[in-house]
Amino acid sequence: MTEAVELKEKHRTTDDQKVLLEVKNLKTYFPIKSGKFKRTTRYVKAVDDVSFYVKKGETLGIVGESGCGKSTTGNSIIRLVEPTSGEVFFNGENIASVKPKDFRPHKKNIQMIFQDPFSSLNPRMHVFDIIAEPLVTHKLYKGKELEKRVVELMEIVGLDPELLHRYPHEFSGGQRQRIGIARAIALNPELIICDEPVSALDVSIQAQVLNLLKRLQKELDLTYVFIAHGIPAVKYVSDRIAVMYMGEIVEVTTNEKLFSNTLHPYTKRLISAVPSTDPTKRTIGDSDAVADELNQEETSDQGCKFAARCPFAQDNCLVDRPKLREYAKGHYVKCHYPLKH
Amino acid sequence: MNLLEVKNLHTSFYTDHGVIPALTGVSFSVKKGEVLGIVGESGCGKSVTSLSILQLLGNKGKINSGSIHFKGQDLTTFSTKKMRKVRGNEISMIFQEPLTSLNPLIRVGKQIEETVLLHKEELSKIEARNHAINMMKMVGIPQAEEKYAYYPHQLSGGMRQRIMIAIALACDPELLIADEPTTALDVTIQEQILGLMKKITRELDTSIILITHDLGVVAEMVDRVVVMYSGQVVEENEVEKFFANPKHPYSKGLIRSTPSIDQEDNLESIKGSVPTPANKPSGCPFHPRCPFAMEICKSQAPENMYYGEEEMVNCWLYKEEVKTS
Repeated sequence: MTEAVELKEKHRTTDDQKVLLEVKNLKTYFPIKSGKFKRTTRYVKAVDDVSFYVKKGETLGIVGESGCGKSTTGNSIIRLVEPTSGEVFFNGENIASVKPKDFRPHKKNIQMIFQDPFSSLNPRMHVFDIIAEPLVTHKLYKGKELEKRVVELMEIVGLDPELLHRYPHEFSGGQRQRIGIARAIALNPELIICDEPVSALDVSIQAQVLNLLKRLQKELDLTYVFIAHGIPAVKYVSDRIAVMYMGEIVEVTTNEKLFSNTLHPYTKRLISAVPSTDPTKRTIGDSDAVADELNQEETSDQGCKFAARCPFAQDNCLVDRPKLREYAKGHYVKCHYPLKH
Repeated sequence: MNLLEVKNLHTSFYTDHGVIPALTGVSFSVKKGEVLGIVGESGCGKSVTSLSILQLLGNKGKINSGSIHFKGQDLTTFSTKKMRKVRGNEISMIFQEPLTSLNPLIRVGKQIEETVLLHKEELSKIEARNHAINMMKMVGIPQAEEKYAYYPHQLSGGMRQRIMIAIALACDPELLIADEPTTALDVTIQEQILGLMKKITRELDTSIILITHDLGVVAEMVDRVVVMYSGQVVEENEVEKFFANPKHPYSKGLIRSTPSIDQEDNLESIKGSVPTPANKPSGCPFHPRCPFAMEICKSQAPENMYYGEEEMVNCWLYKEEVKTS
């Protein structure tokens, strides 16, 4: 039995809330071509055997540093990038292997919110056309009905319907992100993948958008996969959090346990690097400022990927790759020597 | 005496769409060995402030009035030639994006060496090279001799930012201006770079102006905070007093809308959005977003109200309080 199946079985017995999305052993590799004949010599393993589930109505946060594969995971689910192997179950149906044509109806139920509200909206379309586009594509509304629905959507996300016929450049970053959100909820999707939805926004606007996403979740019964690198923001919106490192999930658990009972050394490192907003509790500068950065090319195919940076690594960590296992109830970790508390 | 004293600085940009006032009366000072944080959101003028100090505004930007005294001399009166001697030597700068601020065609070690040769004419080429390698060691680059011959693209973002710091500190400047030095970096790398800046500047007794939008970085790094909004300073205070008791409604909103790791309650947000310099509101520029806005705020810009020499707030709410104290 694979790890992923174990996850699901255990989960089913503990909680009967419905699993909406389940990702099993997802792999997305990008080939590197080199030499005279541009033969594929190596692969970048952007997503390397990732398994997780998202229950209906909850928010799963995926957090990690740049290049850890969190965005590729999101893109592979919605098939903006074709996964190399693995399965993605949405409402029980495997959507990773269906033909592109058959995937289309599912797109109605899975929507995406992108990071950069400046480049993700077509500059030559009116706000009306941007928000109406998915409704027209799926032939849901026409004429007066369509306009009514678009106005309704603008009101839901807190945009003035007067601005219906403006172009994206006339809006601020926060308002543009609201347009992106209106478009994403237009089709009444069940799942929304939010890929860094606030990191391009000003601090005072970030809170507005995070609160809007939380409110919409309650009102429209949405399920989120919330991908971000900002740990405080992920903590603020997520019910459960998955930590990714170099294409793998190294720890998954509830929001509360991830911080109170951190098991993976990488998670601990990540949390402690977040600057505190209290000047009386300074932590930076206490430890030595020695450079330790990950280098994708130097890591071997063997052993734990974090071993080279890990302060607790033992000999077997370098040769024996750990598996994601359930260390405590609902708390999964990929480490031979989880931290003791 | 203050190392740097900026007084009532007005800077405008002359564009095809008219004159855009970017700074409207900015005043602050930096003491020797101090870390001053300038906080604000995009378009508030925090970067223009640093470019004004170094006079790197380009041909469209111009300082209209005000003074910038550095070690007693007014930089606004300096000629281009004289200013060139100050830049990189006495005042240097670290920019946000290390990939675009390094020359991609020159080996990183050479770029450090270049700065040294330009400002320290007494050094020979070999001495300059050794100095460059020592700087690379100081900023924590492993195998510095080997990395000397690397091109910027061969290094990671964190390593590039270390090179930028090495260039900035190569001539032992008295003031370092760091404009969002870690915004493009991952959080674990940010921790290292901030730690490095703290350690080295303490050793060399360098003063820093740290420009950032991240209140976490401010809380970790600075001694004093200056908050900017729409081209002006709205609050100034010591860092601990600032976080314990922010005065300006904008500062309060900023602190309450920043999620922290110990966040329990719901985040409060500031309504509306940041005004662009081209359409600055009348009176107090924050009044359309302010929950405490009064009649006077709409028509009349508040004065700077001082509680002490270094505790200032630019808000009508505190008029009476300041008078009686």
